Amino acid sequence: MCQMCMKHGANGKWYMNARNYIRETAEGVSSTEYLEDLWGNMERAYSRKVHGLFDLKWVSKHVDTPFLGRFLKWYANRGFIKDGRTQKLNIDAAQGHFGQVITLSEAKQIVLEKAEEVVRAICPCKYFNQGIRKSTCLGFTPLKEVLPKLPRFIPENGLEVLDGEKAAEFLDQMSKEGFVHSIWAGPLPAIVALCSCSIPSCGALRLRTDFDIKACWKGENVAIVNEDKCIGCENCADRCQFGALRYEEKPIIDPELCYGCGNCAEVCENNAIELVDRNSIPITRGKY
Amino acid sequence: MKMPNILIDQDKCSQPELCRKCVQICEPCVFNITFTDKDYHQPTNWIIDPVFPQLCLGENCKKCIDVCPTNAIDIIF
Repeated sequence: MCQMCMKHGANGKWYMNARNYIRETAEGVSSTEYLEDLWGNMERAYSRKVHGLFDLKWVSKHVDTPFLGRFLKWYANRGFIKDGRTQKLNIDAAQGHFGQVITLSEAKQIVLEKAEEVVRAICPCKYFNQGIRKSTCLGFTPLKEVLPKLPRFIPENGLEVLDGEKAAEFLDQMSKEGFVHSIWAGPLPAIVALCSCSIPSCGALRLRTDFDIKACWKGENVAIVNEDKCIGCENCADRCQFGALRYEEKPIIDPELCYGCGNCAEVCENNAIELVDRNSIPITRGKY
Repeated sequence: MKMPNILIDQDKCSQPELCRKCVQICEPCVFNITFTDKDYHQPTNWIIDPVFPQLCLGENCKKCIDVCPTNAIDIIF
């Protein structure tokens, strides 16, 4: 069992504890200073040095080199730890900014029941990777305080505080458009943002899919197809961002590639795709 | 695959933040809008950096070269 989830989580999940969303938790880990630096330099994410030695731009060119690649990945992954903090954080390395893929229902539960305040911000990743200004990131209390200092991430019509219902509606819309939801700590255990990501425009998910650097972890679930229930509607065929779903008369899902976002299950007409706990299947057990 | 060398002439690329056409057109998102100095309020500090040339689709694409209004991009395959 994950130490982080045991210590700070609820129901075995670190992001399901309402305590992680409140102001006191954020103040306890100096979340606003951390975010000001992280979001303020978000565009430089690839050129900042990981733990002061290498930058991700350089690391990405050598991840396929034998031995050196394995060392570099291990070194970079140390910054994206799940098991809480053991030492002083190195903010230059995005240390502590740990993210995980979550399902739509979990995301809605978070905005409706757990979060104190929800604001909408312009997604920095979509901007620096794809040049698009799109307000797809939901920020919680600490981010709301930092955003006025970083006007380039404030949407055109100003900083908008959403109530739970409106935020849930927004998440529904994002899911319909095919985005994957992810939850972000900054730093642990304070939770600061809930993003709607796509590949390759997500700075963290692309590091994971293109270079196997664990900037974002896989979700708690894995999608399984119930072939008897599949009626062949093909709705799921183009829904997978991670290349885990292949459609040949019926969907075939590779559990090892599945991130458990539930995008395919969301559109299934006959509920033939089911999300099961990642740890209940031997080949995906413990593989986040 | 061999890594292409993507060269951006920073003198010709005068308004990276306003233009950013190459960043938008690139399907594998090879380019990155970033800033060189700590002071991001200065528009002159912003540049477009081809961070992941190894993901470039190769000679058949070249969309970024075509879209650039100032011909600042050159790729050596």
